[in-house]
Amino acid sequence: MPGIYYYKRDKYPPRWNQLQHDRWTQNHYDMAGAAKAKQGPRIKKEGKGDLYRIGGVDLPWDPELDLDKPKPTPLYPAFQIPKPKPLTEKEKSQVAHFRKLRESIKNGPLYTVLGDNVRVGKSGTSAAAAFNPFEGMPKYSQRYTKKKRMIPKLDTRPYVLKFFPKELWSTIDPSATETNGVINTDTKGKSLQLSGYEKDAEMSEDEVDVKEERDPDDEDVPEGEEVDDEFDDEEDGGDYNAEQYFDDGGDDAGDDYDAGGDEGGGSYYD
Amino acid sequence: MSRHAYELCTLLVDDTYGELTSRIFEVLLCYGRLSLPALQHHTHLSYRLVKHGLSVLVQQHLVLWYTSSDDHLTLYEANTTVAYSLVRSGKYIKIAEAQAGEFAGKVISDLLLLGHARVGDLVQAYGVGQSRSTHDRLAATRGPPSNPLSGLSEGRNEEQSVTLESIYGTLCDLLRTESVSRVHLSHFRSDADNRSEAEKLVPKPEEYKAKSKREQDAQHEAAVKRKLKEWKYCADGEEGEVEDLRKGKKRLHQDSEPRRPDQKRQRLYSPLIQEVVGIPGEVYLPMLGETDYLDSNLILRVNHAKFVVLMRNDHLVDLADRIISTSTARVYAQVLRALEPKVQECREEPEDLNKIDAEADLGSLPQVSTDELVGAIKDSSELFNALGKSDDGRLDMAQFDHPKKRRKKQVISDNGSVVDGEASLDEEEDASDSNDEDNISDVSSDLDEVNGEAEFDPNAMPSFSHNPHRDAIRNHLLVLAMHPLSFLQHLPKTSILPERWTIDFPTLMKNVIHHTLLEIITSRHGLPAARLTRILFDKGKTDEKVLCSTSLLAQKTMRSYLLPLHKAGMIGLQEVPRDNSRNPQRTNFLWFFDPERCKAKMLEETYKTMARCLGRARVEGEKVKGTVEKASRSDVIGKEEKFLGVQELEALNVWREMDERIWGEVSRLDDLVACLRDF
Repeated sequence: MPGIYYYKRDKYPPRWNQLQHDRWTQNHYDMAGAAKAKQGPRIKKEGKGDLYRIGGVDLPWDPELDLDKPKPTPLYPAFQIPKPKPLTEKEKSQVAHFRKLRESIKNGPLYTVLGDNVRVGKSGTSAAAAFNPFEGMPKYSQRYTKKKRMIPKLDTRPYVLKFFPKELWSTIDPSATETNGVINTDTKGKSLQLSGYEKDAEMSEDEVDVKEERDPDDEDVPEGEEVDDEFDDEEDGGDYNAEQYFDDGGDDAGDDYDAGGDEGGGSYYD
Repeated sequence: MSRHAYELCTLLVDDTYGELTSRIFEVLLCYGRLSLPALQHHTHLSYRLVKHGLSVLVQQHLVLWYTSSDDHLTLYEANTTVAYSLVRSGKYIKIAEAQAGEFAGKVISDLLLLGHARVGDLVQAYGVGQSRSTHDRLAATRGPPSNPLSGLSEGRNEEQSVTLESIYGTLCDLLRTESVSRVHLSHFRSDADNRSEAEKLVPKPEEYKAKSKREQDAQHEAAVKRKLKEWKYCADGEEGEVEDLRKGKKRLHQDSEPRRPDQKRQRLYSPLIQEVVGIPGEVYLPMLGETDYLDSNLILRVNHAKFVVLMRNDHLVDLADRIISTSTARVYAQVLRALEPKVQECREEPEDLNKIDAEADLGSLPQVSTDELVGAIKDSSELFNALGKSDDGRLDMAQFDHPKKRRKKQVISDNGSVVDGEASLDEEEDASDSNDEDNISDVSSDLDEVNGEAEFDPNAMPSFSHNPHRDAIRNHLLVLAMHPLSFLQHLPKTSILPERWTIDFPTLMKNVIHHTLLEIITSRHGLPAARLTRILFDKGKTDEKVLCSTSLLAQKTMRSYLLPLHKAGMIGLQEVPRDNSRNPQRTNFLWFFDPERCKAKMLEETYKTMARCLGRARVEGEKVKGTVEKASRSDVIGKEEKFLGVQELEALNVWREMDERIWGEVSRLDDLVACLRDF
């Protein structure tokens, strides 16, 4: 019963309009009459500073804050993308030269695309698991697609071996030997080929198809010389040999069928 | 180099040479120098793959290697300079085309494709071994009639049109302009390895006959430097050879000049060829003016350093065009062209350590005389109209003059009239000093320098005042010399030498870099921010209050500019506590602008942007991968319309355009990198 306290501290209970200076009694008054006290705003804004108070107690927050009004800053504010000036003619031709060079490097013997199975010591995914059922089916047009090279083809041009460390010599030119500081190489038959200047006389028809698209630049293997097959093993090994399939399969299968039909037919009717 | 630069280099290698090489390159960048087994371990590739990849990288100069003579262990190291310059290959080709004709561009592009190549192989590859046609050499040097860059299909027909003479002619031209250079083993080693190798070869410090240890060391140091320089410019042999080599090349320019009978000179000249077993007693000359013949064992590569010089020339001409005027830029281009043969690389180390301080020694720089320039510029009609001109032939810009400046000008011209032509250098300094004072606004300083020129004209060269052609050129040269960026340095006429002009590249480039930084700050943070930066640069470390009063900005406004600048890392803030308590209120906060730091920051950001651009290009490429693959099928090439659908063609075109735009942007960013880093 609140009355008891009033009697203890003051002789008379406070009147309804009496100013309360005592902190304790004020609190008590508020607690007691919170529900029915409608005389003024319960939460007051003090004149000094921007503090809000409830019954004289400073509020560390702003209770009148309209939470909807100041929107949170957008995570990705609208942003005007600065647009560069269009390229000048000079820049365009520079870029054109650059792209042309890059293209010829990509078509050349040095550009490589590594597969997934090149990491040593880690078993890669098997070919069956990596197979793409939508795109991976062998098609006739695969015959024409650019072959990806996993290892650069180094035997297409002569090299200056003294500019390479000795441990790479066997890679670049297996025939290289050194005697008394003089490097002997068997460079015969290897000549530099540049795009736009290659000779295609010595390529057989099939080679032209496949090789031209792969390296129109530096490919020239004279007939007499055996290409070091070591270089080609990996790229050809797993590949589906479309050529073989269609050359043999197409014509021969038809022939076989026809022949078989004739023979069979003959024997049947005879 | 930083992370982003490494990322960029790896992306470039990957884009150009594919995954195998880029994986090796990346590992080399990450781990530094590695031996083959370590490289194999880190790349997780088989030995065979690593060896093949390394061969490609070494051939393309992307990896440096060094076999120590002690333990015969070969260590490999990534060559970021060459890797970065992959992005510039388009520019190189363009520059070479502009300089020496279309065929030269083709040669440069092929050399970039091949890394380095023997002249013999190169000549053979152009298919002239068998067919020597009798085309006019001059016409052929300008490039074959049909376009050799036009692609594979036409290639076989062109075989006939390139003659042996034209190939040799072009190669000689490129060698003379140093666009291509010979390859030396030292080009495959890093600087530190080259140095240790050179130290092994030159005599030890103790072997020099010098009084003190210090002198011995100095001589040793000089010998090592000489050796390194010889290697760099491929001049194995006695000292002083580099100079002779240059003279030799210069001599080739003047075909009419008879060769000197001096045997020693020719012997010195001969090392242009590396290993030629000539007939004893007969001097082997790799190229003579008339025959233009090169030894087929000569191994050539693209000289990146020289191309950077050429790029710098272009950049400076562009800058002069933007800042001053087009016709002045034309004159400046002529000056740069005249000086270009004498400049081998952008950042040449001073030959003598003592010379670093003596920067006033302009006489040692490459020079060009006014007469040479007047001879080189044929048409000066444009030049007359470019600068204001009054009736008596003197420039009259007085109406633009601020009264105060006019007074200053009078003071200067009074001085000038007292002393004769030799004092014009001092006068010039006066003028540029006055420029420095008011360089807060470019416009006023521009006016100022044009003013300065008016009083320059009659005093310095009274004897040539009757030649309007010469005067016009000279006026433009003076404008350049007076500019606060100091485009040109003026060397007055002496009793022996005529009036000459030179370019103090270190000073000029310092100014240009500063100018570029301010331009970037202006575009990013606005003009007041650039002004604040300039004030900070002039005043050094500045308190906020002082800055406030100097810049005439309200403190609040000023802070709104300073804070973004600070956040972007363009300017710095130093705290200097006034006592030991380190109380913020008892601390001075000093703002400062450090161009070096700002430059590094800017470079870093540019590398990052370039790397992101390449990443974007790749993503865009992935989007149309299927179509691109289809378009590159051998049956589709040339018949795109027939085999590709409308949408595919559309997608392909959009992608090509996008790719071009991205690479164009990258090449612009590269211009900035070149300006800040290489020039």
